[in-house]
Amino acid sequence: MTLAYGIALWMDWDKPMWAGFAVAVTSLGTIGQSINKGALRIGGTFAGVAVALLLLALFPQDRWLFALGLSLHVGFCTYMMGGREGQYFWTVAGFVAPIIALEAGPTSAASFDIAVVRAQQTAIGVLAVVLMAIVVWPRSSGAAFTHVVRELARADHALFDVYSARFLGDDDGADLVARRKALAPLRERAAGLVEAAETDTYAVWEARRAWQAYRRAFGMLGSALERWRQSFTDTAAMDVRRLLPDVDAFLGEIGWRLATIDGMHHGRGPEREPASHPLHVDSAAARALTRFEQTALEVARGRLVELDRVSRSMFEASRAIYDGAPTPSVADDHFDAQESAFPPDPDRLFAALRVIVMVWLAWMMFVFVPDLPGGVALVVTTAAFAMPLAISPQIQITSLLVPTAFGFFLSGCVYMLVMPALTSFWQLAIVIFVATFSAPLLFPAPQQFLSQMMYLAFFLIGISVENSQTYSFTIWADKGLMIIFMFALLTLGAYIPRSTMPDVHVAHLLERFKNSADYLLASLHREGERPLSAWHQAWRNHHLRQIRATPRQLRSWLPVLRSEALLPTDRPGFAAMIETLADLGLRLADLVEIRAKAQATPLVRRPADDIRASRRALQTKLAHFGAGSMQDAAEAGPAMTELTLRVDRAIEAFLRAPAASQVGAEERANMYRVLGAYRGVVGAVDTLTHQASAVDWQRLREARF
Amino acid sequence: MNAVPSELDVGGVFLPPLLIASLLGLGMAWASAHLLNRFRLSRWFAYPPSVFVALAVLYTIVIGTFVVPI
Repeated sequence: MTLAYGIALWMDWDKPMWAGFAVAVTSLGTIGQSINKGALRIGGTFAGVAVALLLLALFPQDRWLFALGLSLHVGFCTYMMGGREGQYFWTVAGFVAPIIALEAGPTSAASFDIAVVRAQQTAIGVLAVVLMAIVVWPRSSGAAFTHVVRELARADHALFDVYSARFLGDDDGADLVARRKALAPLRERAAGLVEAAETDTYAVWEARRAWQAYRRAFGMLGSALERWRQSFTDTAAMDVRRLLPDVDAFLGEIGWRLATIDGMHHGRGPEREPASHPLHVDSAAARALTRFEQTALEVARGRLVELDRVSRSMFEASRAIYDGAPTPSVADDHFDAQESAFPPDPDRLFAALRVIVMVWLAWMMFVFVPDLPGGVALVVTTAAFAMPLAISPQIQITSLLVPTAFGFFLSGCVYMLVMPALTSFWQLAIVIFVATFSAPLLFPAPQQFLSQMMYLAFFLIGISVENSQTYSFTIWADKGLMIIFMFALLTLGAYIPRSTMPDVHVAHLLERFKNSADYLLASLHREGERPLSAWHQAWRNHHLRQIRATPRQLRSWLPVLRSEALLPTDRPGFAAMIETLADLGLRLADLVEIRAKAQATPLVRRPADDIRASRRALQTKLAHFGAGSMQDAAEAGPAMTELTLRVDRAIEAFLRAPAASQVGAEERANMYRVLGAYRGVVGAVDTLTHQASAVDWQRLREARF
Repeated sequence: MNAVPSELDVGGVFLPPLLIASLLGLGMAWASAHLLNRFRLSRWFAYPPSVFVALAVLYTIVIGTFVVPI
């Protein structure tokens, strides 16, 4: 920070605080992370500059069209921020455009100069960070990445062993959900470090295709393990070793692959090639099972086959990394993993709309309120902070008040009491150094990153260092008033287009889950008659993504849910219910996928009346979920045992039908998978109904400030 | 108390009385909302955010009338 300020002041450039901002944001833990984020900031700056100059050129005399163009650009960038790739690029592109377009004032003649200064300052800030990272504190991502990848491989292997023991009935009653949850941050960290390591570690860069394949593979492994875990409840009462005679060899092979992958990360090559083991069902033993159990066994077998496929891909990707073997093609073919621009994500759309409204409100204030504190700076700062807040609505605006107020108050003390007494840059450098150093100390938690940014940003805005420094309490107080207006706008924006209050948002998320589940169940009916059109497939995949994403979002909202809405004593039950929702989401996704893939199976083409009736009953139960008393849901439609019996009857009827004898082995297996998936959904809805009955829905849903 | 509206002078920065009154009104509305939530009385309102705005306006008028003339 000090270096960036020093260079900017030495070069006599305006607005050295822009270099300071660049440093504050791009200075991360490793060289690769800093370079990547710096590149995104520079790229985003150029994109923002280009859009700003384009808008100025297109609408030099029409402020409303100009404001419309600018707000749409910021809204579009906000939407893109919610995507998987280049989020920071879009953030910067979004808020740089208003800076360039508005900072020059009403004539806009100086916009190009401002654009040049902005680009220079950003580049100097990023350069300072990269220089410091490379020369003074060289910390490559490679070591951290290797460590995390080894940890993950070891943890995956350990988790697989625990799951195997549970599946085979040999386990010690370990809490599988807790173990899985403990692994999730490690998986995210490894995925996040891949690109940083590619940037600053030559060995990783050389094998980047293989590492990308490995990253996809370990993501799929986590998903496959989770799907497998969900089948344990259904197979708990079975003698799996008798039913699947090859299961020990099969699981042993997967375990060997995972252990070998772990070994490869430690420099030990594989002793042999991966082997293929069949996983047959013992027909004689299976005949003793109920139809339901037979379907559950088929589903569990399908999970193991998927695990076998994924572990092989992971093994081959590891070979490609360390032995230079060809990189395998690793693609997640699950429907919910397919990204699509249509239909747009509702959360991202709401976020974009929220930001557009906030930009317009700030713009109207700027146009119609004479001598508005901050002037255009109000529009710029509102846009800059509205974007991340809109994308992460869990962050409550009130939580940012303290860091902002503290940073700005500190800047006032420094600006009025300390800075006038300084005689050289080095004295100023110490002040900047201390302020920067204190940011992570004051707000140390990773989730306080935005607080850190607010603290540093408003400290730098408050001291407003320039080469020809002036001191005026009025200027500082004017900025203070601007901050008040900015927070007022951000608070107002939190209610547009709908409230981001945690209890309201959680209720919306539950409603969304319910609607998506209902759509998917209804789509099964459509799909039974003929294959879905591309339009319906797009919507189906959208709803699949929703039911997979909603429980994750609910988990992130749970900690901020107020005690007035959810009593502390009800929290564990609510958390368990969210896990069941995740379980139900996965089972529904499975059901939809298996049915789509088993389109030729007679039972799918012409579902039995009992299956149709049970599907409608599930829809009825889900319609009551979260609405009023869950007692209604439990009592709505037939009892779950009745649903179970209906699916059983459907299987029996199918097998007794004259045509059943002509059904091939593959079709029979498909039928079992479909019915097993139905069974899984029925079971998950049953659990959900019971768990939800313990939640005080009236309290959660009642109106609140 | 002097009922003539006058700006508040903070080190040469003149703050309009309406700003002071509205900031105090907002603060009191926030405290009222907190208490209404605490005692589960907010459930009787159809749309609490509008009530919050109304409370802030009412408090601002009361403060503007009796405490900081606007």
